[in-house]
Amino acid sequence: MTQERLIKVVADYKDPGLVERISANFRRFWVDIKWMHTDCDDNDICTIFLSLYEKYNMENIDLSITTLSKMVDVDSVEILNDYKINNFDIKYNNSTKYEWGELVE
Amino acid sequence: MKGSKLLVESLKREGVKSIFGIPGLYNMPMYDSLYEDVENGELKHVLMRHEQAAAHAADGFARATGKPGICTATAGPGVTNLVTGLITAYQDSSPVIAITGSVNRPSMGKLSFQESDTLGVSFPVSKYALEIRRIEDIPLSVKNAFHVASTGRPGPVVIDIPRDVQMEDIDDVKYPDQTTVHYKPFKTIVDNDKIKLAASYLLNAERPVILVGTGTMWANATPEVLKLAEFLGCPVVSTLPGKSSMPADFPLYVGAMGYYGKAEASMVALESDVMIAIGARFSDRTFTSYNEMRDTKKKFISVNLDPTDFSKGIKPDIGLQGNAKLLTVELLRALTLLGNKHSNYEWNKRVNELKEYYSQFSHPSDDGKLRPWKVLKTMRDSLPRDTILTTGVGQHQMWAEVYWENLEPRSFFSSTGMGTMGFGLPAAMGAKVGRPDKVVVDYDGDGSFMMTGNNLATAVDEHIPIIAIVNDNRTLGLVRQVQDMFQDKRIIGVDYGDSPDIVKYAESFGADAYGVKSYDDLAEFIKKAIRENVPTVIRVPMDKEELALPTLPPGGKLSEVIVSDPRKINKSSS
Ligand SMILES: Cc1ncc(C[n+]2csc(CCOP(=O)(O)OP(=O)(O)O)c2C)c(N)n1
Ligand SMILES: [Mg+2]
Repeated sequence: MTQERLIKVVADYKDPGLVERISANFRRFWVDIKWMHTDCDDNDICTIFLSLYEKYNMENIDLSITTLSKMVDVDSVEILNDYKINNFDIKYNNSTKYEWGELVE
Repeated sequence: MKGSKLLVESLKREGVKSIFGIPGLYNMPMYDSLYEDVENGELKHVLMRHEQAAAHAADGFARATGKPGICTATAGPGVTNLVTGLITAYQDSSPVIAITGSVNRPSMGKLSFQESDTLGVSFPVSKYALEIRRIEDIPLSVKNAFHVASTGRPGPVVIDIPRDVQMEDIDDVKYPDQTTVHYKPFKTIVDNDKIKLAASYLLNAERPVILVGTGTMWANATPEVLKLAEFLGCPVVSTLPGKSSMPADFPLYVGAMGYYGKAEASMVALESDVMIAIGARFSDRTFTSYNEMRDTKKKFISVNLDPTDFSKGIKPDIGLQGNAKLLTVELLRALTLLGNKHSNYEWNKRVNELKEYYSQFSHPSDDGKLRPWKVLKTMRDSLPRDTILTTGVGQHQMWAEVYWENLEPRSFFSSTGMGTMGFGLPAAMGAKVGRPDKVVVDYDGDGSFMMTGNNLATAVDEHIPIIAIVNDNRTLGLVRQVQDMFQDKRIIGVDYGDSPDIVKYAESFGADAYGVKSYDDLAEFIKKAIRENVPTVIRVPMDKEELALPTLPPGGKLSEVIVSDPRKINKSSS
């Protein structure tokens, strides 16, 4: 069974290396990215949505997400549950949130 | 003030005293700004012979002192040479800070001379990498870098700074009080319910054991861990790097467990019914098969900084998140309140039986040749109690794992996560710069030693009196033994010829060098090296057929441990 997750990352943007490090995090776990959408505010705080899936059944997807939450510059990573997407407008009812490896909500 | 000067001042504010490095076009402005401080002795610069060694030296400095070690390199080849040293520090959680110079801002992306994508190269091998783009960002970037490197699970950080930023001038210098980087060191969570439950598991256990890992060293938690062991009256085992936290003469310490660890330590770990791991992440070198460990049905308590470790190979019954020292203190408090400790008489009897049983295999006779266990015993008897020992990677490292008696915390350093050959000598040099009061020995293999041995020149030039004891078996012994034991003796690509003569090689650098023929020679040369206080290389000839035992078959379980030379058993039974 292919695992899929939609995640929301909030991070401090310094340079495009942020996106590079996020994608490298998933590459190392053999987790694939279907699409991503990035939007940054005036204070360089970015909200990044990533649609992730696991092609190789490595059962890494959740560990890859908690590992990302430990990356310097990343404030939080949320796994979105019960969501609707309409042209990059993403609505969700609840989420599982990690900060620095720890479950916070 | 020039950017390069501001960089140096910012480093000094973080307490930097020593820098290991090699200059080049792009970090030269920083070198220029070091001039006065090096002249007047406020800063020490150690000119290494390869940037890999500069990173290992900074790593050795960090492990020996607990403070960040600093290295520097120029762009391009300087940066790429650092990579092996950085990833070695990363895997072993060592706070190394690398300052790299890069090309002028207008030249970036244009394939200019020595342009390397420093951030791109550094991201996968470091905890953090940042580029300073504006002169006014220098003090804050440095402060952020030190904060990230030295807190939480420590690790290497790269600070990349273009040459023209170093050359710029600034009038209004502001040093920050606070860091701004979006980063949280792992929290320590004192969850009294969980701690109480952990305490009751330990008190009610029939066969409790403590597993000590690297986190104990970084948290300076040895005294608390020893108290816990004494309170519980239970055996202690460690990971390979965890050896650095455990005095070998602590009566309850059995030794390092794992792939090449002591069989009795692995068996104690297997037979235990409750294991509390303190600062150990259950790596695949320590628990070679997670199923084997799970099948024991024991309860696992894990004291660990990183909560994601609780969802890896072994999911502990109780995960206590946080600093090893603080949480061990809390656990001791809870244990004292709960009172009566269980007598572990039967369990300790069993532990002693295991120790006794396996000791028959661990000291094979001399056969007229120098044997590793006795080499390490001779070293122990000839060296001060607080000697720092580093190693290369190979059989000799595994012999050190089993036979070297580390007696003080923070005095055994090896590349354990990465297994980087060439770590031993430069790491010893860095440790010696950080702890000049200690005798520092690199116990090395000939293959590993030759990877960074050119840095002996630095040890001689800069008077860094380390002692390298090189096990010369003329082979990549650990690889050879796998071919010998598990690949039908198809020995390929491992045996060396006669070159070089290690003694002459060392002498050519101006180091003192001795060839050993007996244990007495070894003891005498070690004492002489300590007395003379100059860089010294002692060559110990070792038979290439010697095996690093105990070992496991590739992919094997701890219970499949091989403790005696199968070639000899076969010979005597045929
Ligand atoms: C840089 C590097 N290259 C290759 C290896 C693979 N390797 C592991 S142990 C070993 C042999 C090491 O030989 P030596 O330093 O002489 O130690 P010995 O096993 O002979 O004691 C090799 C090649 C490694 N760990 N590191
Ligand atoms: Mg060798």
